Amino acid sequence: MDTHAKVKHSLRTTILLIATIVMVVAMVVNALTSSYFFTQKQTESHLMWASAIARVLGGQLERILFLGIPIGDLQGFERQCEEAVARNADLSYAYVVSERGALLFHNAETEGITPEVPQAVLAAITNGRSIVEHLDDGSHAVTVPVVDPSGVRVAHVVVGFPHEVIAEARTRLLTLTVGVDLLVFTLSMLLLLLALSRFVIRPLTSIVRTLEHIRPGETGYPQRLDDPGSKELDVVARAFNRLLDRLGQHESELVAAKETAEQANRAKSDFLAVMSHEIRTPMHAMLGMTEMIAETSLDNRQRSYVSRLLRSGRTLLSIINDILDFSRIDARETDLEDMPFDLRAPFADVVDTLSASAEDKGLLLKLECPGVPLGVRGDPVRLGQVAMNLVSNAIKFTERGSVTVKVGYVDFKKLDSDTRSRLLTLEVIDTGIGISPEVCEQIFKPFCQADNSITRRYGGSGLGLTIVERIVHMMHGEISVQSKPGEGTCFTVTIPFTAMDVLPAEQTISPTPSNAGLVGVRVLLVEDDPVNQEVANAMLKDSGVIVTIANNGDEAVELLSRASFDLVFMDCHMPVCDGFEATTRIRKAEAPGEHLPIIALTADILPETRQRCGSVGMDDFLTKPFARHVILSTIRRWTARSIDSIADEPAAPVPDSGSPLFDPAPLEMLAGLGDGNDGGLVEHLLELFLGGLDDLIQGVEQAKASADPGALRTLAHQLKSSSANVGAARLSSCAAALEAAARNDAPAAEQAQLADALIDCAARTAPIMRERLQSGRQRKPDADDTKEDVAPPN
Amino acid sequence: MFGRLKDLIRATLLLTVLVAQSVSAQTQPLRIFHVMSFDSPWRWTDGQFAGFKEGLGVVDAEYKVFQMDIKRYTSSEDKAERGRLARDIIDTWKPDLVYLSDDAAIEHVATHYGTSPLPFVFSGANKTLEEHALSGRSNLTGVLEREHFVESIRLLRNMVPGVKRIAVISDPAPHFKPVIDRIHAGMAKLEGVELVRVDVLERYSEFQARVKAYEQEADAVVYLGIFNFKDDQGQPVPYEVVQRWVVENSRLPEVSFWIDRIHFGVLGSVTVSEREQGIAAGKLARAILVDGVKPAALPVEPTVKGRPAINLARARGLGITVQSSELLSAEVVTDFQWTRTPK
Repeated sequence: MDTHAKVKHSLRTTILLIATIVMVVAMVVNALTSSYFFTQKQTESHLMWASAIARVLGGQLERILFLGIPIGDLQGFERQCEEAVARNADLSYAYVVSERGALLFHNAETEGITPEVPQAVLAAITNGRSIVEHLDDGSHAVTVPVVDPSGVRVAHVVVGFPHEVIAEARTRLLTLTVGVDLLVFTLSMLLLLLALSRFVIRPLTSIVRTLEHIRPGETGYPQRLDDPGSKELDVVARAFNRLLDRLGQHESELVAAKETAEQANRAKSDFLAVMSHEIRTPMHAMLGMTEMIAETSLDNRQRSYVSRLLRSGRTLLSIINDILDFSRIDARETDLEDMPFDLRAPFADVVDTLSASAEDKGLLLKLECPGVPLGVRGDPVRLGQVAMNLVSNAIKFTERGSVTVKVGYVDFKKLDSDTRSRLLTLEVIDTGIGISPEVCEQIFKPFCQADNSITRRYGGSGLGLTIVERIVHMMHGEISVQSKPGEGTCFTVTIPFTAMDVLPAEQTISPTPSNAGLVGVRVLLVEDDPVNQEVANAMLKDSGVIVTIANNGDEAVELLSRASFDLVFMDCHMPVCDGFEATTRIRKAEAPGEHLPIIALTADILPETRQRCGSVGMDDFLTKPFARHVILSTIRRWTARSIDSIADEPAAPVPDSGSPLFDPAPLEMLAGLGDGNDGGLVEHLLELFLGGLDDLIQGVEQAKASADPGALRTLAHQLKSSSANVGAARLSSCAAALEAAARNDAPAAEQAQLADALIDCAARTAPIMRERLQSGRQRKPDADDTKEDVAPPN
Repeated sequence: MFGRLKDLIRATLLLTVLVAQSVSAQTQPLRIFHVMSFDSPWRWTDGQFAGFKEGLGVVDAEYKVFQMDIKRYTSSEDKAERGRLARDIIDTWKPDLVYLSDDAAIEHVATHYGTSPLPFVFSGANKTLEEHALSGRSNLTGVLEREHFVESIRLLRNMVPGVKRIAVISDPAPHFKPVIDRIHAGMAKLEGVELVRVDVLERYSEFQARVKAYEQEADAVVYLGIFNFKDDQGQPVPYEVVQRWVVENSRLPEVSFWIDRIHFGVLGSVTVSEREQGIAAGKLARAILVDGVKPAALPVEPTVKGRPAINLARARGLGITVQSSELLSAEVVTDFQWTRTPK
């Protein structure tokens, strides 16, 4: 049934129902009222009529008495009573009662019956009442006194009629009334139905049909209502036509405004794309070159400057990324990927990526996640972005202690679906500065940090958590924060994913050292910009990767026709032949079953660009500028050879016995901070290191004795970073080997052997460090008075 | 020209005279001469006359009444003389209509105007026109008197249920013979009632003896003519005397057919209404005088409506309790005429 038919039937039914209810109520009220008043009037009328008959009988009696016949001598008057009853069918009885209440004549006496006079009648006579209603037998009676010629009351004539007379008359009236009412009701309903159809339903149906012709987005509304034919609906129709005129006008204006806005939005998007590309490209070159400078031989001051330059550049890049991300998410231009991945992978990458930063701050960055692959479908990149923001924030706002990333999951099945779901629970716990409760409520708002002093001290765009919250919400997840100022913060994220039992082999992760499995990988770098060529080359040269450079797409295609490569990094925008065209040609040239991983390199982060990359056959996407570890992890992920090589390589690195016991470079770098004046920082760090070394070594001995790989791993991790910070290179190497062995569940004997090596190394390193501390104190006797708020090594 | 004018004037004058005569004739009151067979004041005769006036309606009329008074003038000669005197008045006064009540007036007045255009209307006639040898008379019409014998006996039996034997007694006046005949005929309608005797007597003593004897022979007595009994000296005994003697000496309930008898102690009867007789005669006179209908065109018929009447004093005297129904449906006379104080 279409809409206007529904409206028609519904309205008609409603009106008829209302009219029916009103009429039925009116009829019932009318019937009840009529019945009530009719009963009253009928009773009054019958009482008057009975009274008239009683007076006639009384008059006859008085006439006889006037003849001088005493009432006691009179005979045969029961015939008059009987005659009165016989002639008036509605009468029940007629009788004469003496003044003393004795029954003198009764109509029933003619049949040989002598009824008794009801007490109510006698009481009425005594009390002078002439009407007695509702006697025990249900009758009503009237009494009329009879006086003799001398005026003395000698008797009373009593005439009565049954209540059934009234009831039957009332029933007849009700039957008639109901019959007439039903007739009137039927005719009224028919008239109403016809009138409704003619004057209401038809015009309204016309209005509804006209309304139905209005579709969202249509303009003009050419159809107008005709004259509906009734005054009220005329007004409605005119108003409706005016409304259509206005709607049409507004619709045209809105369409024009929308087109203008869309144009402006497209212009903004184009601008953002251009700006993204234009900013990222030089930024990539700047950061890449800065990293390369940092790896050259620099004095402390230069190294400090380069370090600051690198940090500032990365910060600037992060802010730009945040702003661009936020603007895209806010404009709902961000689409989520739906691809299978190991739920652990994004967090392992993030931890791997940020471990260096954590180590630089002397923080313990821990990842606690299940040991088995967790197959899900979703967007690993965005999930990694969430983790990256939270972990990097935690590192940023933690001066000492640890940052723990806990990954858990719960499998469940929705009631209305056969699909199994997997709920991710991510906790990022730090021991940082914490957040006050009132600030907790604000931190997810854009451009908002805990307070201005934090912005000044820690920098950042203030958009990170906003982006995190919005991505989590896009994934139908929840994010919450618990924190106490001075004690730390815990961000908790829960996101539901579709569970997958089996993952493609390339999507599984395994704990891999950052610089392992890359030796011999043949990479073709297709890049037109010489600086970027140098940056990429520099990043890859020490990793064992064999890099071949092509200056454009043509060269790349030509090289691929002559030589074999394990992976291609393809710049998208190049002269002669860009990355898209080159990829297309490469794919066309591939034999069945062949598939060369091609990774796009571009500073353009717009989704359209990424889509275009996918459409031409590129496998992945690296956004310039990228860090060295990112490009290395990408190579590792996409090269089957690297996976194989990972399996072939030892599970844990062996201690590098070639490393020096003491490398002065880290301390020299620290000494170079603050315009070359270390202010006692180096000595302070050495004191802290030496103060905690004994405890750590003791802990390692205990863990070894109890064969506790977890404790060994934690202690080794702490020792690895703290020893590296103070230049205890061999000790750090031993700790790294032990940590890797513990993490990879190496045999207990192997772990014990590495622990012994660590203990031995520590014993040989400690005197050197003490000597270094002593010599430093001797150079700066006032160093104890100069202290900075530096995070202690963990 | 002048000849035609004269004719017109002559016709106008003639028309004027005729209209004047007509108006004069219409303005003169009608002359109605009423001849009573009996005397006045008496309910029977006075009632008929009042009814006649009522039946005639509001007509300007001049009445002259002559009483033949045959209760006193009982002999044939006396009655004939009274008739002659009445005719003299008719001849000299020249009425427009003569109204006769009862049979004596019909016999001694109407019979003498067989060819006269003077219209005669009568009432209270016991004899039919055939019995009066007046059938076929074109100037005569009237109302017959028919007693309600059967109804009267039924009324009597309502009051005295044990009445089964009835005796009828009358003086020898000729107009009661048809009444006796009709009583015989009416007996057929009275189941369980027997007419044991019919006595027509002349002497009062015989009457008394007979009435006494009825107590052994009958349960009730029907009294007809009681105006012409002669005592031992040959003098007529007044009917009031006769009636009082019956009340005081007879223990049998009785009926008679005239209201005056009830007042004089007859227990009860469905009486002939003298008023109805007069009203019917009055309507006939109006038809003749006002509507111009010929008397021969107006059929002679009796009145049919009787009027129950009961003498409650006589009932008490006989020890009879009259039922309420009879008391309410009848004219009840509570005493005897002779006990009333003359006004």
